[in-house]
Amino acid sequence: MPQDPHTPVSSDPAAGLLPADGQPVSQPPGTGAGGEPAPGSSTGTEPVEGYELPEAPEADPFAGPVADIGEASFGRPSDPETVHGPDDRVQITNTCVYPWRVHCFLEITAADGSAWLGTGWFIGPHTIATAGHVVHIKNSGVPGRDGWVRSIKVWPGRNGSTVCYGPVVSTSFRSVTGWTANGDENYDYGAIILPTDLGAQTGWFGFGVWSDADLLQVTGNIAGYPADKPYATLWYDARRIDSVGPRKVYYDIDTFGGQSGSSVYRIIGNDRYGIAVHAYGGARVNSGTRITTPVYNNFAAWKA
Amino acid sequence: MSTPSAPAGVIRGTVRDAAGAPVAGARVAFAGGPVPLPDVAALTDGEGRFALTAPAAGTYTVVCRAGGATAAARVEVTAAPAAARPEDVRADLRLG
Repeated sequence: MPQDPHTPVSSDPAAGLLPADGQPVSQPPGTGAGGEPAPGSSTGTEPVEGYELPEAPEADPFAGPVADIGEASFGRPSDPETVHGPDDRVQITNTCVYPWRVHCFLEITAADGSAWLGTGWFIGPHTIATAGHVVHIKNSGVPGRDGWVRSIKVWPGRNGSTVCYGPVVSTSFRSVTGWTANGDENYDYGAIILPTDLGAQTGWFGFGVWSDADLLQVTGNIAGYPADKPYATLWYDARRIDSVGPRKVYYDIDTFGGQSGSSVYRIIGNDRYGIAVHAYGGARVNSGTRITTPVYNNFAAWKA
Repeated sequence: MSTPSAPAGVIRGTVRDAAGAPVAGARVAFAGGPVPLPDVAALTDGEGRFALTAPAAGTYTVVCRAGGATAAARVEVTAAPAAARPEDVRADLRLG
């Protein structure tokens, strides 16, 4: 049923998106088979040899003309790139160990038979979180393409021709009507349900709901399978979170096509927690669907 | 791959190698566009063809990669007011 265009909205924080008591809630990670993972670095990044957290440029209020307010919603008007400035991404090659094996290379077959690439991440023994548009295509403009995808072939921790696990083929998917009916990017998240408990071997990331103030202090980490790199290779980058919205998280972490569905995650000690699902490349920043209380509750139900 | 409203256009093309033969399984994605875009990549079919959704009017940068070769093209999608169907725009790519 179409929504009444006179439905009132408010700039006040939307009720029910964050815990009422302001305290974070989270589901715990599991490390799967094998030893304990290395703790994160002091800057909140993965301990990847040779990788350093890029310096955030100092904001200079006198550096140039003030941006049109429309850029806040739609990005810069011309030729944005999803890799912003120097390409900080580093390749991960030890993908068969935790935490890297949690990230999954996805080959997607859409309803019209077209083939696509994406990324997902285990949140439980048989559940992989990803973007809604990875599992359900909306308003493509191509006859026969829209709707649930036919199947997704999943390779956890793949590194080019090196296959650590799988592939496992899934035809069981989850999303929400905010995406499947309305195509609203604020609800662009979903899940792949595997027919096996492969996640018990690979392990999984936790996920949680944190306040705006907390997220703005966090280093966001993304690992995924970008299509501009050698086929099915895993690449990593990190940066402080740029900004947050009620249902979105924005960051200047370099990504490319093929990384939709990646985990945007924080590291607390030895533990990794998803804070958003990467979905869009933008002009100045890229963005993901924030894990709010409703997203958290759906992920918790889908991992059961 | 998906857009939040009826798209302005569909960018269709074929990826060919340096000799002009169509390339199956090439990866094709947007490297830039007028609005934030879903971060997926298409694989070309057996005849080297792809079709990417352009959600809004503007200039798009389409890149492809197969093996170690890459190619890119800039294409313009113009919004047809109240168009009954999305505009079809060609973007053929030749790998170097």
